[in-house]
Amino acid sequence: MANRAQTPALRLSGVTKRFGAFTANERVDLDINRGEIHALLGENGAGKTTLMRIVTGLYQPDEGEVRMDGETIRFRKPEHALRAGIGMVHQHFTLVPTLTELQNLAMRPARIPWSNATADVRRRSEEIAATTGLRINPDRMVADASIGERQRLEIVKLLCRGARILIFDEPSAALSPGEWDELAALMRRLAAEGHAIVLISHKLTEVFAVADRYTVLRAGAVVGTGLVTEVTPDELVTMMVGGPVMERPARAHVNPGRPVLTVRGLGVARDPLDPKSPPALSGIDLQVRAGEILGIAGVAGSGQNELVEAVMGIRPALRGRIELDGKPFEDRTPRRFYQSGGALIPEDRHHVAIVSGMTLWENITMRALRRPPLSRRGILNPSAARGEARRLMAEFDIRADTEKIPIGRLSGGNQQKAVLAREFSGHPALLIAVQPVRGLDVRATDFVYRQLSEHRARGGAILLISMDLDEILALSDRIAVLAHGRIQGVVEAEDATRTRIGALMTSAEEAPCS
Amino acid sequence: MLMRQHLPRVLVTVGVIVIAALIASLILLASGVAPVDALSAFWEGTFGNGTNAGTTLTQAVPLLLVALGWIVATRAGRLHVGYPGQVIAGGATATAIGLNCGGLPGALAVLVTALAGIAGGALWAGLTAWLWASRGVLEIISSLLLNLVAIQVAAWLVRGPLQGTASQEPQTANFPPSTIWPSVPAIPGQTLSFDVVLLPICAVIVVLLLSRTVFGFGLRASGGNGEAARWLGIDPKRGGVVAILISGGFAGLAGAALLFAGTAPWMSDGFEAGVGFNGIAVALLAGNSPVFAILTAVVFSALNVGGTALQATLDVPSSLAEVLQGAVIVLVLLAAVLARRRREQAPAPQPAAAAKSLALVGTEEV
Repeated sequence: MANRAQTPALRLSGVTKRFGAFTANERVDLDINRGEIHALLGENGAGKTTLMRIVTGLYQPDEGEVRMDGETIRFRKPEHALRAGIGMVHQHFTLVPTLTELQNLAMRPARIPWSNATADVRRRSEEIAATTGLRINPDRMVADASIGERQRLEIVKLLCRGARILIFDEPSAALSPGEWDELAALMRRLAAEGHAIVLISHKLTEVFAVADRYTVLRAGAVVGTGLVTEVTPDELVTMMVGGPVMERPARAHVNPGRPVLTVRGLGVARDPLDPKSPPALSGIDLQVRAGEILGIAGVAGSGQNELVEAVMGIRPALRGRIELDGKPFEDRTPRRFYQSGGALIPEDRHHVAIVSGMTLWENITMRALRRPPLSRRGILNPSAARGEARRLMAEFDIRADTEKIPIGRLSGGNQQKAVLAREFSGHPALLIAVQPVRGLDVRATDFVYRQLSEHRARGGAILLISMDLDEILALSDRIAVLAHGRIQGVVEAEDATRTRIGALMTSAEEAPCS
Repeated sequence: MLMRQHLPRVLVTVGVIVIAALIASLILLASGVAPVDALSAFWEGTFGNGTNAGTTLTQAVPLLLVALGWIVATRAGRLHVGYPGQVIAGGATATAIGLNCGGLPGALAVLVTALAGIAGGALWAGLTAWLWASRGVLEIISSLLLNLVAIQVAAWLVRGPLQGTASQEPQTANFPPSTIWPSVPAIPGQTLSFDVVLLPICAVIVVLLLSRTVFGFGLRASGGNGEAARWLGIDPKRGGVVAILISGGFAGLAGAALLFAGTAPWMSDGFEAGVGFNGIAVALLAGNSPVFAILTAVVFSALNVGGTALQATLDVPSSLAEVLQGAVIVLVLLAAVLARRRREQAPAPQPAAAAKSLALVGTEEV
């Protein structure tokens, strides 16, 4: 054991990876020890993902070497890394929703192709439950598991396969505060058992909560490494962005105006095709006024998605009335939602907000394009649309060489800025923002928050839905707490504290869902 | 700029032709024919004189029309393979109406047969579109099965309601002369039909439809990411249905062109002759570019016409042409896979979420 403590579990020295003329990683040195949680920090595009793809065998380094327990290794594919004991918990889970949890665990290349791994995996998962307390629900469909439970299953899957070095890619992005606390405790337990943990995160609070050491990457190179106890958050931010980030402007006082979105008695079934299925939302009353940000706090899966989909007209409502910008909003469709002055920054950007194969300008103008002046009588005016896109690129600081680049090639932050540009360019009365900074780095997050504040100052209304309580507390004028498909209470910003909101989130566990 | 953009595709096309020629030479040598003799017979049979060139160009028209239908449907994300059925439906509708249009003046009769073909193909495609939009039946399955239905219906028509009275052959009576699409009188044999003007016109219409109209924009958004389109207020179902109808219309027009600008002035049950599926190959070889599809349609048509010529002059089995077409399709798919692999090696900070899994869907930016 003593000998092991001296040799790092994983040592990268001088690792360089180039894609054509672009250097993604430049002479990166990194030591990961057993029993420690090592935070890997950096902005979007700083090279964290590429580095971890090298470690997990997805890419091969152009220069430098990777040593595991002192031995040089060269993985040709991810399977090799897994066999050697390096596992990654991806941001986007690699589970098959239509199989049970146990079947997902058993899904792996077997040495004997016809052997049934289920019994073996069931035993392994029970062992893991005994040692780490990570309990799964073996016969439940993954589709029925919450995000936090799916993440737990991912971790069990890696442990089942014997992973000793675990890499977490932004694990808290999808988790509620409570789930994050649980995960943090679990990470510490795993580290105490001698696993090596790498935590990729944007959130400094998390880094300071669990990590022992940190390494900061900027533009592909290491700019700092050391013990977390010997660094301040400000120093870390400065390392990440290469300069201090401007303070967020203090929230100006805005007198809320007329109601922009009014929801009365909204009820939504869990299964959109079956009105008799148990309700996902019942008796929802909400009002968002001009010049105000209404935050919706709640753990994931409390009915947030259903609320957005019902207001947008993606999902039918069983009962209830909605008024948008002073007019009744019935026969809802996404198109009418936008026409009535709505705008949306959805949570799942890749899935519902951008068409990654189309160009940046087409994505930015995707909605404006269908109205004059960018089109007349169904005929487009591409040069005007490109001009408009270039104007918005400058205004929203979208970094791309040309507006003709497919949007899928941009970094996540720039994609999100493009979505913001599109949604704000229509001067909406109401903006629905769902987890608007999920997966963004410090600078991009700051930009998004600033845009939201400016929209509020201009008299716009914002419905902010987030699982990140800090975000809700920092931005909202009023906070509605959603739990089990019901609004448990609405709190003014001045009166809101983490404990009070947390109490409301958990107060009505047994709320009857009629 | 334009050249640089399209250069890789030109190279792929040329490469495919060269390799296909090599394969052909090997087969020819194996069957005891000198490739040089075969080449000269092939050239003579396809472009060697005005008559044969006219045939080649005229036969390229139905191929291109089907290819354009495929391109529109694919752009909307609707991979259907009902082209043979829609060609037959369009041709049969045009025949049924054309046989009764003997009294109309020529220009009007031609227009009526063309419109009837479009309507027939679109209606047949409408079955697929309706099943998809209202019942969620995969369009690729329903269209494939409807092909079989169309083949049987056509066989019944030429033996039943549409059978000519003059003979007991399973074919219709001769079309009234006024309905036959006019051909260029200067070409001996009158093999060059005026419908070759459809080659550039239809290709340009499709390019403009996709790149310059709000409708085409919505179509591409629906095809690129249907869920995002829906969330952004574009109805991907409406776009998909209209795209399938348009593709059926193109295929139906191809059916009318096969009959009324073809060699025989009647409809028999085998008139479709593989155009429906070869049209898909034409579009794929062109990388789903409407303009390049003109070129590849002519190449495919030349393979057909030249294969017949080889059989006539050198007694080479005409199935050689089919072997070549098969080889071309395989080579194109191979080239698409190679091109994709090369693209994936390029730096991509965020792997495109919508990386298409099918080489078939490889599209170009219009």
